[in-house]
Amino acid sequence: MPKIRKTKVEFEGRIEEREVIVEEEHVETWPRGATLRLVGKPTPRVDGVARVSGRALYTHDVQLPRMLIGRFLRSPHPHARIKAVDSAKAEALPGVALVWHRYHPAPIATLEGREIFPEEVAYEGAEVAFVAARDDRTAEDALALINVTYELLPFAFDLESATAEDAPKVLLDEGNWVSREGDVYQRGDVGTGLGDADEVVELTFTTPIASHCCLETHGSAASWEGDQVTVWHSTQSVFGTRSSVADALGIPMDKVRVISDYIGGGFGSKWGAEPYTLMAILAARETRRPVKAVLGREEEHLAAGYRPGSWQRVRLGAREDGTLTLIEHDAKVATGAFGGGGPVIGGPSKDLYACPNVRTVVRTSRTNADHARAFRAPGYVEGTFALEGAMDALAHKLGMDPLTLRMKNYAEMSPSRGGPYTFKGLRQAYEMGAERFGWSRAVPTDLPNGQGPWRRGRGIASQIWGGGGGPPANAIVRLLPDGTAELSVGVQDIGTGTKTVLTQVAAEELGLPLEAVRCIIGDTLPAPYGPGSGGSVTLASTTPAVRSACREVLRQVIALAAVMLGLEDASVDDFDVERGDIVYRKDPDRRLAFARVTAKMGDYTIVAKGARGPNPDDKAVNTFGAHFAEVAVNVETGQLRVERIVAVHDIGRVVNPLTATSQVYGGVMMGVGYATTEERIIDPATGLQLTANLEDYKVPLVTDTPAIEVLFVDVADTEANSVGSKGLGEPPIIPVAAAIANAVFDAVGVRVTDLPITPDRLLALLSRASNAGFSKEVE
Amino acid sequence: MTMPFRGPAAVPLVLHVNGEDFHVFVEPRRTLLSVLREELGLTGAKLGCGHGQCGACTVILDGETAYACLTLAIDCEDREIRTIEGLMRGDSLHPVQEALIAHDGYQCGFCTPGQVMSAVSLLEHNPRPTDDEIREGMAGNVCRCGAYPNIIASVAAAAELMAAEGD
Amino acid sequence: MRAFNYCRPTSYGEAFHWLAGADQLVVPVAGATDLIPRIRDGLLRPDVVLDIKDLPDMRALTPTDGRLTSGEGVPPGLYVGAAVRMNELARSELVSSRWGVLAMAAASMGNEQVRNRATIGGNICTASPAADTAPALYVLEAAVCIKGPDGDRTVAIADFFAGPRKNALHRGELVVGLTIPQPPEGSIGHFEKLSRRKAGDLSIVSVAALAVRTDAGYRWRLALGAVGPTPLRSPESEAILSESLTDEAIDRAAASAYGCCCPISDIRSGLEYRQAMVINLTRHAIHAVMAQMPTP
Repeated sequence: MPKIRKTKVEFEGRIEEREVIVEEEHVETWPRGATLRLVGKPTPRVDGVARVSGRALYTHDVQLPRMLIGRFLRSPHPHARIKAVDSAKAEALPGVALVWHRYHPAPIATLEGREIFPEEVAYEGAEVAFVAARDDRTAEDALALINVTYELLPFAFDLESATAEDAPKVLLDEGNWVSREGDVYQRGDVGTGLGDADEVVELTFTTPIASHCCLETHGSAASWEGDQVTVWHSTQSVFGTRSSVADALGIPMDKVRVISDYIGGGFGSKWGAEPYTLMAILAARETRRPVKAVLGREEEHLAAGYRPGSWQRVRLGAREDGTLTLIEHDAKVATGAFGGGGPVIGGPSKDLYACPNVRTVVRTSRTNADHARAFRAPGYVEGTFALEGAMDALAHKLGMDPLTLRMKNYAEMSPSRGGPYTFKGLRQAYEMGAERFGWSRAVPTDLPNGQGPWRRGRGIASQIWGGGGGPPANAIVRLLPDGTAELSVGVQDIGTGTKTVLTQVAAEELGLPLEAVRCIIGDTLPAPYGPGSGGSVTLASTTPAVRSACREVLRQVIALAAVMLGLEDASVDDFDVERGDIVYRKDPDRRLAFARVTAKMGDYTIVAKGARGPNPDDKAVNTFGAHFAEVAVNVETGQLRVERIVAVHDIGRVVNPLTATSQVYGGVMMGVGYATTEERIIDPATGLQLTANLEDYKVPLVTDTPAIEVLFVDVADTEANSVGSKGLGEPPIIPVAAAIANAVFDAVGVRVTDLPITPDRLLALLSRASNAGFSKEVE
Repeated sequence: MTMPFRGPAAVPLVLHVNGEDFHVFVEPRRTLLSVLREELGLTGAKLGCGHGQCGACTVILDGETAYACLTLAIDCEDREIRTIEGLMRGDSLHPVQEALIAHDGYQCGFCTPGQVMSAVSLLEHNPRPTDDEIREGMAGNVCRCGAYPNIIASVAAAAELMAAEGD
Repeated sequence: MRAFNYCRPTSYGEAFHWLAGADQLVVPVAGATDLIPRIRDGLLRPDVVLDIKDLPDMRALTPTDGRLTSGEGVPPGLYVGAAVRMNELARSELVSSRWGVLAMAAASMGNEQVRNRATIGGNICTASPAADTAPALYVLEAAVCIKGPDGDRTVAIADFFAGPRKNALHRGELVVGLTIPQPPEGSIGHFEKLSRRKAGDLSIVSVAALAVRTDAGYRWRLALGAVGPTPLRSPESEAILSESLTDEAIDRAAASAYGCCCPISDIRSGLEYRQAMVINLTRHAIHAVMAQMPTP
């Protein structure tokens, strides 16, 4: 029976206490070292053939009979007032079905309380008009025929210009500060921490605006049948989309079906209904034809979110022996015209080390940009770069090995919650990484070190993140008469391998081969609720629900088997399932093949639902990792080559080492891009993006790939949930930039505090350092 | 004798795609990618950027890789066009496809059809590429998920598979 | 992308007929790798796209004794049709045999897919200061073969580049190819470029160096890309190197190269960095050439 309970769930650095409905179907946790048949084995993806054959259908690929194409006209100015829109010529163009804008609005003009076509447009790329036409070309031709009269307004394109004394207003009716005093976390006392310190380091860091650059741009398609709408949406949350569509349209949830079968990347930027979603749905209703609206690449840069740039100041105090007495971390971010809470930049400072005196502040300002969105470990990527850079500086100041300093301040208990962790394997991660990397050995000399322009160096950084997941999450399992099973979960696979791990867990639990379980995700119609793919919660939230549903299926099968074996009076708990047989524990000769039971079912289908239980009340559930980087720096050109990364992660039990390793590769590559090449550049004179494409916004290419070695602590976190696993989507990007910057310091003795580490930035630092007679000994 | 212009309205074209002839009626401004996807329903090749900066649209044109988003369909008459849809023989996968599955050489999969076509072409021209040659040959295909280490491993493994098949 | 007409003439008469159309913007195209994005972004609005690939000799890549060029006394060399693609140059044994610096430059451009389509004619007609083949063509002293309704002419490559995205073509003319003199046996060339990522990027700075074998030793030629409104030669550096190859001479040559440049800041790199890299890359290219010189 469902009950209402309170449980703590961590999501992207914020711990929420939720009142949730949970169903207490107790499933015995797989113990550490349990012999499992499928879980823990490298497993190629169950949808591999679809992915490599071009058959996988993404939202972009949706093509329906008579489908119209929707496109937006967007503001070419960072801040302007719309005085007039003349769309007569566009409307008259053959093939144009409809044109909507401020003066000819769609039937619903707002989304989540905000006007879709406002009078005041506050960023380059803001929606100004929408066209639906018979094809992409016609829609584009129509956009070119719309005349808009703008009154230009002053703009603030970055944090500095938006927070200056005489700053232009980002929005005419709002102050530029969203939170001037900031989100503050404090324990202990800064003064005490300073007083207790023998050494203090203080550094200022900046990080760039980073674009998600999902290869499949944001998009939706919609088709109505009577009063029911089907929405294809490239999203990290089919259920979140269903709610937001139902809300926006004011229709019941049961009228909305959301499908997101394959998703071409999300990284935090793809959630609920967006203006293009709503316009597609409304245009489809209006024209009685399906409508698809997807963004172009430039629009993706302008209007699909980004990781905000940050300014950060970190002050650390420590005793001579390295014991931290103070962590003070001040951050400022600019999150776009519509503000919103800043990312939890102080998260790592709050929780990575045992330190009695900690104060973190994050202040948030508006800027004339689209709103910032979550981007793979929001806040933690930025905050870890600063904290771990400062820790490295502190280690050098104290004359300590950077790894020793981290071990010295190891937090056995959760510093912010005070209680223990369900499991923390960071110490093992440090040890395994140091061993594999050869941390204690000298810098390898196969590169001419000290001669020629290349210098080699090594650095480390570590990481904490949530990823424990939690309720609610459900699964439905149907056992079919031929002994195969269908598993239905309300999640989506954004490329992490969710579908494969869900299948593994179900097949494991049911005692079936992998091929006998079909997993259906990415569709709200067949599935009960599942969480969005964010905060690294998917696996830890859903796999326990899958186990619980499978247990319930087994209970029913065993009950049938008991009858067939003439053991009507035996309890369900008296049976085991082993190698496809149901076995009576007291007399193992009394056994019955699973398939014999299901064969008996005829047209009967066993259906069972499972639910994710609550998290432990008094313990923190976290994931950890340590990265060891080796770089080469050319002191003549400032070029930086990331040569090798050893990445060790503690995520509890690793369900699928193959796809888990891929997650780490992906996070490391994205971290390499963030550290070395990625940066949104905005022209101060015009407030317009100069990098709104994939040539000037430089994501890593295959040629930028370092040697990456991935290790897992791989100890089941048996107190976290019944599977013993935690999430891995976000952790691997977190420490990368810091590890690289620390290695650069080791190589050439300059501390890079501004990302990305471009050759010209690095060369300028090197020449400044050599002019100042600077060396790492005298930092 | 001067040939007339073709266009700007739709003109008839014959395209040879995966060994079949397709008769289409399209404007000269149409790219090969838009014709493959919208007219022929071959949605394997993807539109990632439309500017030749990502490689998701990679197809093989007369034996060499090309960005279908930068190629006019009208420029492809009398050329052999190969797309991801023409790669499997019945139910059996091309060695590049097999290797990508075995080595998890993808994540979201959106770039994968383009990666596959680049790898196929690379191995057709250079059956035993070095690690550097693989990287150079695959450099025109962005994978934002960062599956690169496994993509490199997949191409190397596919070369082995193809060499073994050839023996 | 705005609608346009398309034609693919097979004779120059036909081509010039269309190019003469007074009230229409007729844009010649071969590989289209630069053109399509520009049309898509609305930077170029052609009425007619004139595909030149099927015109006679556009795809020729042959040794020449002057056959394909006008004028007297053209030394034996290489003829490269305008529609010859980058990968053809990069992989041609003929090109590598004596014009290796051009093969290196062609191989450095973009990536496999782009090099399979992009042509040398397009690369120079675009007239980007960062055009990858330009420094190589400068040191090889290539001549651009131009056909027009009123006849043929050739223009030295250094005169062809007139400014950022400006070339020396008159209205109605077409670049049909390049003639490239053959450097004497024993000449050594090298091309190098610096870009943000290892592959696929436009250059921040590029350098081509060619040591032309003479009876007495080597006469040097040095050209730089992406550091001024057009690619450029550094005559002073060339003179210094032709005299002496001491470390001091190399430093002076690199400094002179720096003196020739007037780079700008852009999103790929700041001005100061570009300047510093001119010196660095020049020195590097000189050393790379020297490393291939036979020891006396």
